[in-house]
Amino acid sequence: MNIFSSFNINEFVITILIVELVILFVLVAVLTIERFWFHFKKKREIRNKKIISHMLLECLEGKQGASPLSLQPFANQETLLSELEAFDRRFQGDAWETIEKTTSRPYLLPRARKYYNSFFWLRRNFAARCFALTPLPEDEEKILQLLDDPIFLVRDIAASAAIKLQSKQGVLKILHLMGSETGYGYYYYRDTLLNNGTVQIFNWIEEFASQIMDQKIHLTCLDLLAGKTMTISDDFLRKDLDSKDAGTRLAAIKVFAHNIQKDSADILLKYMDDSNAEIRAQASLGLAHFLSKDTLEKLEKALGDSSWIVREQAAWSLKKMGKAGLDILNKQIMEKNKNAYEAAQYALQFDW
Amino acid sequence: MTAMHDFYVYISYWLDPFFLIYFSIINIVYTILLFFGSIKVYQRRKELRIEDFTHLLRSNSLPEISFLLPAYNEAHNIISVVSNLLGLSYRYKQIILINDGSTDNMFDLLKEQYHLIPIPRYYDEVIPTKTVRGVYRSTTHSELIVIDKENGEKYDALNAGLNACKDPYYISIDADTYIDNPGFEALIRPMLAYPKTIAIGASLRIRNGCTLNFNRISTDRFPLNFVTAMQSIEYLRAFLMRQGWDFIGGNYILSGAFSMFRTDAVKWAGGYAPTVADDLEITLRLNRMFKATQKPYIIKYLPDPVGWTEGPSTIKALSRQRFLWHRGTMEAAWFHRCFFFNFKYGRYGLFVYPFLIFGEILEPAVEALGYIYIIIGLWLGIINAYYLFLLLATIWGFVLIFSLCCLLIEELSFRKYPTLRSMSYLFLYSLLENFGFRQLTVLWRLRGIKGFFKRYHLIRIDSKNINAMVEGIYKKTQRSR
Repeated sequence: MNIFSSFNINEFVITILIVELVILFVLVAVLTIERFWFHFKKKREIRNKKIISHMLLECLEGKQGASPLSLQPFANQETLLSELEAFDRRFQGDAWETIEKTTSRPYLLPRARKYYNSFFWLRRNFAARCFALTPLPEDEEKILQLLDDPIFLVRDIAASAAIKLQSKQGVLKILHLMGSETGYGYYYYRDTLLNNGTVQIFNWIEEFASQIMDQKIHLTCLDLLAGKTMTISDDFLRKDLDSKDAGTRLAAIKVFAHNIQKDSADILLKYMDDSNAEIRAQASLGLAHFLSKDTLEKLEKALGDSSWIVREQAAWSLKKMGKAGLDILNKQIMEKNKNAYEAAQYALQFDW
Repeated sequence: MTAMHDFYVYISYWLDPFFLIYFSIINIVYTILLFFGSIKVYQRRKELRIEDFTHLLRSNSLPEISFLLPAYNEAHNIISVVSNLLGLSYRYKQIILINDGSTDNMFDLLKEQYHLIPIPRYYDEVIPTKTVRGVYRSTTHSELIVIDKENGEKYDALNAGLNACKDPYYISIDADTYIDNPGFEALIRPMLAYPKTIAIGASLRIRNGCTLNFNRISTDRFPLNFVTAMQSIEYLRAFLMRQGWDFIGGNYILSGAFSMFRTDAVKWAGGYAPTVADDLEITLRLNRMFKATQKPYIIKYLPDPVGWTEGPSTIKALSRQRFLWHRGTMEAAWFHRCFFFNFKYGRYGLFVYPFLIFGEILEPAVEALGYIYIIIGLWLGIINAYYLFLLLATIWGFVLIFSLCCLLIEELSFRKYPTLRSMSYLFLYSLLENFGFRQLTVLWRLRGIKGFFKRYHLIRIDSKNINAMVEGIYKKTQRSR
């Protein structure tokens, strides 16, 4: 028995066709309405942003006192927050900070304190943005909680808030995050710490590096210390240099190569003979800062190293050292040592 | 004639329910995917409002990203593609262009334009490829490296580039694909948000008829003609479906024209395999190997339109492309047939892979069978022409609603076709899609099936080699644990 014989196919198909036609009509209508609605919405948003921006500028110029209370009718909190963030990127100083605080406190922070625990991540993101704009000590707990958020777009802003607030616990949490996150997330936190971290924060990082035995966090601290220019007490660094783990040795050498310490030159010269090629390359990189007979000799020898990355790095360093280095690069001959000649020519022909 | 009539009536008892059930299941799956895809686009639209990575992208501590750009006889557009990549504002990029033994003047053009000079081979050949004749670097744009090698296929060129890639991430890009800054920046996002991400794909759009000015795409004059408009509608539909797959965590293909990968993951998996569908194959293999070794991983698919690719502008070129795509899909599916209803691979084994087989590979065969069945029925006078018209109108109406939904979602989200002209043309062409174009695509894909069986003796050897390599890697991984 054919399954179609049991019901009236004609009626069935016609019904479906009518339903399809109705759906098509609705879709075309929605498409058309959306076009007009989009333009209207955009226009309104631009107008509101203009008004807020104008008021904030007037406050900054002192024409309107420090409390722009008349903002409310023109903006929802989202628009106000994005305008304040835009201003925060452009302005610094006491005048701006006062305006920022007097605006955030009544308009944004009450909502942020309500939202930080929300089920919806967009609300938690809103809370984190408010705290990053105006971090207050009484909100530290909330910021720390947001640092554990499962959504990166909440964690990253909470990290900015913790750094701005100078929270020791917050910095430790960020280090834990850096230790556990692979991918680009690591670079985000690294950059935020390097750009916005104060001397106090880097002193804490040094303290954590010497106290925390967790390998990942320790390596993260070393990586951060290599990115700043500051004097580091080198007790724990020396231990790391003697470590059996090549990764730890490399991280420690990076600190001496990038963040120059008083005995960097001796250490870098010593590690030019390490068994690990990456360590030799890092040492070659660091030696570019020390123009001396010993350094030039070591780097010239490294031009003939068995690993390309060491040869390349040594050649770059010699190029950076000026005339003495360039002379060494120019005197390399193809017939004498092909590898050294190639590396020298490579550095001479290309910029860093 | 009567015997034929009786035979037709007899098989219709089986074929009618078969067609009904088959196409109902396929369309229900598509509708579910469309629904899930729409949710993904909606979520992404919300994210876009608050997402600001300007601070990160200006930073001094980002990793380098390599672009692997395999090119064969692309003299006509290679300079503009390379300039497009060089113009991206991301500072830490390296472009590795692989000249796959081109016979036109592409290499000379590159040499002249970018002042290439030979440099020492700075890497080891981990994945075997055809002989590399030389490695060159540009003296004017030091981020550009050109590998000149003997002709293999695209997969071989990609492997040569992979050998030279020292960066943690790379982007494989076709020599006819253009990208803009917002698109590229969007691609990095999943690496931030999901640290276990090993590969990211994103939506592509057809570039024909669009203009590129200082890395900004203008779609004001789009579409150029019927062929490109049809492809645009197909792309919109296909990429929305992929969003649906992404929603349920079942990504099985990332477009080879523009996707980002973690270098160590692809190197660990053994690089690209010899097939024209290298993108589908590598995605399937990554899924297979990471699942089998129980390594945590994520493969993401972004709704953001990030790349603009040159589609074939003539019917002849399009037919060739579709033939190769379908044959390649079959090859890749054959290499990884161990997925088929295999509990070990979870949703991939039980749902995604079977859908690839029944919903994609066999679909043109079933559709062609349907057309033949209808024509014979009409000829024998068994099928009523009026009923048939109503039935076809319903089916095509469904396809039209589907296309319109995709257009609506595009309009509500990314608005890459902002002019009324573009949208109206796309709408009108989607009305015409079912009359001729759809039947042609069935024919081209049927040729793909034939091409697969013609090449089967070679595919069998490749399949054996790939599976042996995968098993070898499993053993090595187990030993190292």
